[in-house]
Amino acid sequence: MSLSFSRTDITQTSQAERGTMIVFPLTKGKRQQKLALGDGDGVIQTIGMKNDERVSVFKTNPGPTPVSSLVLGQARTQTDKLFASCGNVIKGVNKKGKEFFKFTTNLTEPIRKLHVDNVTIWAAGEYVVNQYINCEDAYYYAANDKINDMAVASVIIPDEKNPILACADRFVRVLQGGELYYEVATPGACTVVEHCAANDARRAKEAEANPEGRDRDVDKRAKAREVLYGTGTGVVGQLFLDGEKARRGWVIDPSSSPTGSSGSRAGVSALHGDCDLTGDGVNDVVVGRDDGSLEVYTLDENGQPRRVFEKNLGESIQTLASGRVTTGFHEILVHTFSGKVIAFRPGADDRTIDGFAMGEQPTEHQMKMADDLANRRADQLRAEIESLKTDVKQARALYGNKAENLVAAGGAQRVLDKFQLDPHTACYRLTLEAPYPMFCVSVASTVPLDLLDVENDEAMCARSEPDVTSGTAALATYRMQEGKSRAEIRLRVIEGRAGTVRAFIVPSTQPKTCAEKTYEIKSLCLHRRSVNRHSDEVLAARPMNAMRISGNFAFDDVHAWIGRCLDEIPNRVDAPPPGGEIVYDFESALMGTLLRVSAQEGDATFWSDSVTPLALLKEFIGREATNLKLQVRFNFDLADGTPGHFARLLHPKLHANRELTTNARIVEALKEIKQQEETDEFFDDDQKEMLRDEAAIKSRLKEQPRELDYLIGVAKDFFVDWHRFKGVNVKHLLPALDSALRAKDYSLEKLSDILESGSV
Amino acid sequence: MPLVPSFRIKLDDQILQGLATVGKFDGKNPCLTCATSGGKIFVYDPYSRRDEQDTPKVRYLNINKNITAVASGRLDPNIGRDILLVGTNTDVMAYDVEENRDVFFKEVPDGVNAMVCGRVGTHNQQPLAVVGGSCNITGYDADGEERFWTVTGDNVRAMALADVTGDGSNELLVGSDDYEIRVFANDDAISEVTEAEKVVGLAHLSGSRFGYALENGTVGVYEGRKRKWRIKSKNRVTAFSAFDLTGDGRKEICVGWSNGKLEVRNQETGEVVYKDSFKSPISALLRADYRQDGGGDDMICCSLDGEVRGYKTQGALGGVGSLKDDEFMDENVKEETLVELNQKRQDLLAELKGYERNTRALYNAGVGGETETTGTIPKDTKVNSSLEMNPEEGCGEVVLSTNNDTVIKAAILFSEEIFDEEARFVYFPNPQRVAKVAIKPKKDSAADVAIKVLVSSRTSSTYHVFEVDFRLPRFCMYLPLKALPQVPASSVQVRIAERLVKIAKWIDDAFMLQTSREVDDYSEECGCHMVCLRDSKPLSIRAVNAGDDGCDVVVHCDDMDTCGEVIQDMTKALGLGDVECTADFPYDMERLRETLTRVDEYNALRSRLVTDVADASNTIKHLIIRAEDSRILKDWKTMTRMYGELRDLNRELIREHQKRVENHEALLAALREVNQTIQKAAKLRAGGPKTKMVAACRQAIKVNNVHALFKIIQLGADLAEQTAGFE
Repeated sequence: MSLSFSRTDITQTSQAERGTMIVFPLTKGKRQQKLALGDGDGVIQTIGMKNDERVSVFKTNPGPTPVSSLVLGQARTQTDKLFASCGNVIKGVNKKGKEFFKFTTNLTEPIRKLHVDNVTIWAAGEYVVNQYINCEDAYYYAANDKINDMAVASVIIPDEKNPILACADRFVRVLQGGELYYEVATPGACTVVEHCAANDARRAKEAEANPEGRDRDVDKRAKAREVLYGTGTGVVGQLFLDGEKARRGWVIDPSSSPTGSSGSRAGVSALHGDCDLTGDGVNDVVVGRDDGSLEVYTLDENGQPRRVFEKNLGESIQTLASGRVTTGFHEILVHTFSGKVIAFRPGADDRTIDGFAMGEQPTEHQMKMADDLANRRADQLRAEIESLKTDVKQARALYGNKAENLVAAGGAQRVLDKFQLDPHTACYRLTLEAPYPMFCVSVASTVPLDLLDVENDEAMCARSEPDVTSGTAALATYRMQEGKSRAEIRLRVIEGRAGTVRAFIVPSTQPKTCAEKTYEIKSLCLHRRSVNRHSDEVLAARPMNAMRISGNFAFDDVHAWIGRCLDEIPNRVDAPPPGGEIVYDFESALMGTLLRVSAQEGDATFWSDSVTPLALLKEFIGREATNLKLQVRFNFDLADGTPGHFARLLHPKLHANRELTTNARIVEALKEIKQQEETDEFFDDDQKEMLRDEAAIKSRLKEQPRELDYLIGVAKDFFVDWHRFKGVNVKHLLPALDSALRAKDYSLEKLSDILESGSV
Repeated sequence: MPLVPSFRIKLDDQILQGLATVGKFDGKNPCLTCATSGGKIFVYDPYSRRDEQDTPKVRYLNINKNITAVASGRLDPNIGRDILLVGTNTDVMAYDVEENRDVFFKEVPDGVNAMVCGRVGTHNQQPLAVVGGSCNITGYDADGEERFWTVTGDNVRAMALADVTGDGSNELLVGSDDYEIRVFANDDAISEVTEAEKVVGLAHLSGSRFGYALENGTVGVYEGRKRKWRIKSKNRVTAFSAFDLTGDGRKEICVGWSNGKLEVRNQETGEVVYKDSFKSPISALLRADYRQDGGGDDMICCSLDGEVRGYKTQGALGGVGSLKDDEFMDENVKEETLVELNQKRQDLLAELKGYERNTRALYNAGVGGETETTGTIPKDTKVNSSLEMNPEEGCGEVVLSTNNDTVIKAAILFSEEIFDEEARFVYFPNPQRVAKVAIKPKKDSAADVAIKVLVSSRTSSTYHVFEVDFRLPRFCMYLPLKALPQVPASSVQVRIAERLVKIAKWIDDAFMLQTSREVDDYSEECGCHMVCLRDSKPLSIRAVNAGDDGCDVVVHCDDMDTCGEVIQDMTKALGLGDVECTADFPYDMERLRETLTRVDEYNALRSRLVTDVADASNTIKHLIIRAEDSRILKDWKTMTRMYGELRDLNRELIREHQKRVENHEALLAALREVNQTIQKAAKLRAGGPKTKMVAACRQAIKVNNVHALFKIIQLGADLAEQTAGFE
């Protein structure tokens, strides 16, 4: 069962931030709605559609700063008034395009999200939320970590609105005035919150119609505010918030869904929950992701979401909305990073949802009309492209007169980037997206990197000899396929070498300004903060080694040290009360070993079932403490079973790597047999699978020697660290260990034995 | 934009890569003919409407050998139908499908790598089957007689027949494994370009313009010796052709990829005009009026799993032009087309906006465009480039410098000839005004390097990209020396009718020297000594004034290839027509002598092995009869013994076969070496003497006259003949 949509490209703005598209409410006597858009040039415009032609209502002049948020006023008299934020300025624009309001706030950071209700304005910046009443400061709240999004709804009492924040430190926070009211943990950094006002109204109505209130929980939900959240890890969830507490609804977790139905795992960048596209009377959920995936989920009879549509648009989805813009029918509206505005209308074909026909088979006349329309559009576009080509030529010549060699005077345009650890492959994934076609992306790193090929990505990788004397350890250039504005690069890094990765994005259109992006690789870069805390049983089942540090350091010191070694630690955390402690749990994406950090003033303990992270932490903290002239003592409590445990974790990886060469040879033979016999039915399932995976085996084979080196490196680190903690230096045995792991007679027992005994 | 097929066929058989052709074997109806697995060829005749059981649509021909090339054409103008040509590792066969008879069968010891059928050159008016083997090209006429022979540098991979010069007769375009694309008019190579990888596909467009495809996934277009554009992909090119699908009168480049993608690219710009995709790798792109519906030729695209699609010239929006009135466009095609057009518009808009933005910024920055205030660089910034030698490191250095306070933070160098993966990235953690990049080309060929230089002010983190095109001269890896420690034993001497001054000038240009300063028309001689930075082999060039006859130029170097390169470069630079030489290469000649002895040995061994096999197969027959007799007589003991012996014999046969295979491979390698030496020797000459020498060598090899072969290589065809006459 699936839904089909037909796509209409409505218009094009310059690059867009999140939340800069809004649909005007339907006015009386009209069948179609108008659309307001803000963009990176600071332009605000309103457009409508008339007989399939775009009609511009107004368009403001470009401003110095991009439009970062665009909303409609909430009060009854303001619903046709636009409010936009540009940097720290808030503007009001009426439906004719006239600016009737301008307010320069005292905020030092650009406003990310606005909410306007009568004379009250909420403005969320990078770290702070301000509430203004009649342009006067009313309340102020500073968050511990970045605020990614904000929704405003009456959560606690009906007459008062509360900001609901999506925070990077994995929390949805509800505020009352300038104080935190409560917070809800989310699995992964929260990127989007969306208030589903229509659903609230519907539930309230249902509850009214059925006053007997079946059970208390349902009743409670009826009065709560429904909020959807999305995370950087790709999870979408439903929350019911009221003055008492938050109740959790359904959750869409792409990483836990069974394989085969795997949707995109990319981070959520936009959500919309206020439209019914399937026509089943229940509002559907539309999800937009930063890899360009657009998904539609419908809720089944149990209220659980089920995916009915998926399409990749090839660029980040910045805003989602719904309305009747191109025709009189409901459709999804999408605003992408490069500024495309696209409508998706549920298809009028013979497919059904739950046996419910969505439309009739189009008649021949209709199809002819559609054909004519498409042809007309194509011709129109071609004409437009031709005239643009001459315009561009002129502009280039004109600019060339002013600046020799077309030297760019403006800065580089914004590039959307993401640098994230992929827990499934223990590799870092760097995605870059530009509002222009890229020519190439060059990468320079101060730490050794293994640059891997990305499947389905057509970019060609050219590795260059690094110049170690000048401090670069890896260099590469990815040559993009023509017209591509998105690059994806996979890197394998080594724990223990902290450094910087730089990416240079070279555009293929003039004037060419190159943007540089830098990313920090922390020394425990393969450790990922766990979503839930490690349970005691899990910890008890493993041999946990402990390292305790104590000394005259402050809580902020130790928290900073942890934050510089490990990812996903909030920038600022209030010190725990005396006797209390702050605990963070991590898991190694490569080895699956666990790490627990517990810190308080003057005391911190680290537990791990490996010793390498402890050794790295000791080295780092020791060095930092010396720099700060602080006294730090280290105490160790080592668990005896560690080497065996570590060997059991490492062995399957080593084994699979060694198997790869054998498999590659077998596949060749199988292929020949298949070709000779012209069938593969007599192979057993393993062999058939091998044949199917041929391409994967071959591509992995290319990386195999480097991967083997990498895994042996991990074993060596553990070997040295474990025995150093035991007081023995085994560095001289490393070459012997290396050859033992490469030898033919390698086995789990042997690995375990070597790690345990410290002799090869 | 998506392509709309005019027809689709799904065949049951695999279609192997590059092994397909369309022939009118009955003179009227085109049949798709492809090699499939198991050494078979199938002929698919869509017009076989006779429903009798004995004429099915698909007929099979068993070749029982590894098929390496398939072609068809009107080889014999006297019969009005096409002949099918099949090439294998060891022979080539011409077959008349209609009459089911062999036209000819020829043994080709070095295998058939590529094959085309058609008229070549001026003097042969009959069509030929042109067979590309390893290092040589042979043309056979309808009787199987050899009418054409020439050498190339390596295995021939791709060939195309077309009138490149516009003289009314066909030239032969040849792409080979030594990265060269040559154009032969008769047996004279009139043009040669060097690419960066093995050439796997060639397609003629118009005039001197042709498209090419390389093994590393590069596709491009040449106009004569000048490249117009190229693109590179991670995938492999599996089919390559040219066809006018837009209907604008100019052919597009059509490329089939290993991932099943079909791309149609504009020949001027390389822009993708249409695309389609198949489930399996594309194996062939053909051209034929397959449906004979009056709509002209179709482009036929075959994929490995037997799917065949035909395309006609496409209409305004995808393929509507070819659709009938009652058919409507696929919703997806419509949508994709519009999306693509929108994207194009967006890119143009973005560029336009970029200029507007920058003009504004320029205006805001004031007249001077001050650096620090705007975070950008002065608008008169320039980047200069030059080449320096670094003998300590054994490499050349490209020196980049800016003309003001701005610094170079990084540079990306693109050149397919010089860098393994086409690009090199250099990052300077401590950026300076001047930056040096080491460069070490592997071959003596001129190379274009496109450099993107990232320049910024010292503090800024946004960079302007300067594009510098740098031309690396052909002989940039030779370092001049005062004197050579030892003069190389090998040399080549040519007499050219040119003034000494001109030659000195050429030396200066080619090797970046200043010898011509001290040379005038009355100088006795001039010259230079050099050492190659790659392998530290010495090279010396000396020109002696021979008065009115011109000059004698002597090149000393132990590498015949290098000598050839030098002579070729000189010929080209001085615009010389015919060049004959005296070549003295003791080492190379010794090697050639050994190789030829080996060829004889391998040949002898081969005939002996063949007799052995004949003996053994007689024994096998005998044993099988004995064994079967015993089985019928229920004499189990004898039967077991016989089968036992059979097994032993079988093993022995396998061993023998192994030997034969090894022998054959060694023979191939030796033959290749001989051909390569001839090719190298040919490069020491130019024009008429070059062509004559190749032909004379072929003749000498045919009659197995080793002595003559050596004389020809040493003195050239004319002198060798004269001296032979004296003897």
